[in-house]
Amino acid sequence: MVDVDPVIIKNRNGLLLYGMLHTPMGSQRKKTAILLLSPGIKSRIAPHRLYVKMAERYAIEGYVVLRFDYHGLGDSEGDVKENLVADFYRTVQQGRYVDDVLAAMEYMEEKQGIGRFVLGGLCGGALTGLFAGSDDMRVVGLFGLGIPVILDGNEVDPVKNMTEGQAERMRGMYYRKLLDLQAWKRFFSLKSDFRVIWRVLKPEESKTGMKSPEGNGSEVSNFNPLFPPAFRKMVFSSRKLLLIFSDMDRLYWEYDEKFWQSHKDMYKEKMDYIDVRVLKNANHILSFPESQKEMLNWTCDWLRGNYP
Amino acid sequence: MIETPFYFANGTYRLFGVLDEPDRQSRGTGYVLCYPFAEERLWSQRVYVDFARELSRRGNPVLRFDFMGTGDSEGKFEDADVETFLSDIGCAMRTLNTKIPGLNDVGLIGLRFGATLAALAAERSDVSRLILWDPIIDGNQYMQEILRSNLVTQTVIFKTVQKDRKILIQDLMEGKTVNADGYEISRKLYEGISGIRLNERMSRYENRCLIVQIDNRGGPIKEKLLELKKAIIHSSAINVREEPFWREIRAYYGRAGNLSRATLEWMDSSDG
Repeated sequence: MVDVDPVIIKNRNGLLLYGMLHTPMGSQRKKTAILLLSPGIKSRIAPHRLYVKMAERYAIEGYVVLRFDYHGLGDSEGDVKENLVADFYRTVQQGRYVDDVLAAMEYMEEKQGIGRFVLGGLCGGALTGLFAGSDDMRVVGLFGLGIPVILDGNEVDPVKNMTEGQAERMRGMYYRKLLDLQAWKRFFSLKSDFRVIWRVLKPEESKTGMKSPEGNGSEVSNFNPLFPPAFRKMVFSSRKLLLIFSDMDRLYWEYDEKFWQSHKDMYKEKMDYIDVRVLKNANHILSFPESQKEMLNWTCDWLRGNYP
Repeated sequence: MIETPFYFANGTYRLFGVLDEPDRQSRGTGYVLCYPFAEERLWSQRVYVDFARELSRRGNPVLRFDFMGTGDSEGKFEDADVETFLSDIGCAMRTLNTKIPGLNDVGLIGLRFGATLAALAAERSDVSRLILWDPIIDGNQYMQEILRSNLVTQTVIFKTVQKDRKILIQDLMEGKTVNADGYEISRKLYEGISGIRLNERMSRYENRCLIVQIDNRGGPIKEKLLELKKAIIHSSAINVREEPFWREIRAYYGRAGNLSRATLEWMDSSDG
């Protein structure tokens, strides 16, 4: 049996955050709580109620689960001033909601008597969890679905920053279009995006200059410089990470090409703390039930194994 | 304004709602806000929250709630159909009346398919005002758009369409669910929505109604909306310029200023 109740949390600026607490009944309650952190704009519910399904499952496993809306989003108090979604995402990728996560942990300590947390989330929620956890030892682990390593923003050029994985996929799409009359019509009527075509067909053009001149592994352009130090802090303080990506999500290629390939050597001795898995036939939001089921099984196994 | 999140029972399951109560004396008309369908609910949530708070500051109590199997409400989406949605609206109206003693009457506000459901619910219940924000008029056309999202997802994941529209419909007829943006649609829901044509018969709803066409160009009001206006006796139709904030767009939409303003003006005029 699981109780589900609405809760209200006051953040450090006095704004009220609305959330849902899933509490397992009886003696099965575990000592570690899970905080599901909102993905971008889509509130504590997440795309197609993914967080509702996750919270239900984890609570059945015995974990108290809290999912809540950050200030200015969902039902919570506050405002978002950005006019463009991409600019808003950028602020999330720079840690906009870390303080709200800390407020939620304080609420859980005070009201539920739980001081150990696993943070989890999709996309921006995963990244917020990484930032919040890196500096707070109450966080004992993190699971992230499609964690982003780049910075969005209205000024960011997606073509210039395309990964080789993305380009490879688009190359296949363009080859299939060679026999498509409509595609040729678009091409000759100048409706095609020639910058994308050029990037896809001439990959070496944009691979130059991928690394920063300082050689510190961070890349020029849209790579998020806050990602590597937060990742390092979590892992080198022996806290576990489970990172799940979807094979059809550009975020996987970005993680691999823009972060992991240039940083993996420093984690050779720490691979027990990093678990990266890729869901087959899945998109960013895990639309299909098969990918949701597999993700739930993986996260539950990981939680049971590490936080019994 | 006092804002209270809470659960309320509709038979065997609980619905989640947020009640906004005015600080001062209520104006007498309370409103139930009906969310749109599936992911449109998430994209438009903040516009709903903003409008509910504005209405409450104006003196009207407001209840916004999640239908069964959506948002924070209990139940599975695949068990939902048009009848459960309409039953949920009736339950939300009764709940608002119970929570706010002395309420004179209750109005319904909905966006897109939420507006369609509000229009249908208004024929069954005692609804004093009906506000339809860009209602879905043709359910079949809407369901075909929903099925299209499945085809798009297949193309992204498999690089090809493995099940075309015909096969998806065949699956539905055989009792399987079809996935649209992560939501499992049942045959009952598909048929229930597909059968809706708001403009093709006279509505039994006889109180005041505002029909709003939302578009970002300010074009003329579409024929189907004008037909709906004819089908609802005491209705007026207006055009309001807003971006389609119920889907993923470049702009961040925390409030729909033009829509709020036009709706409040109509409320003021219909309050007399």
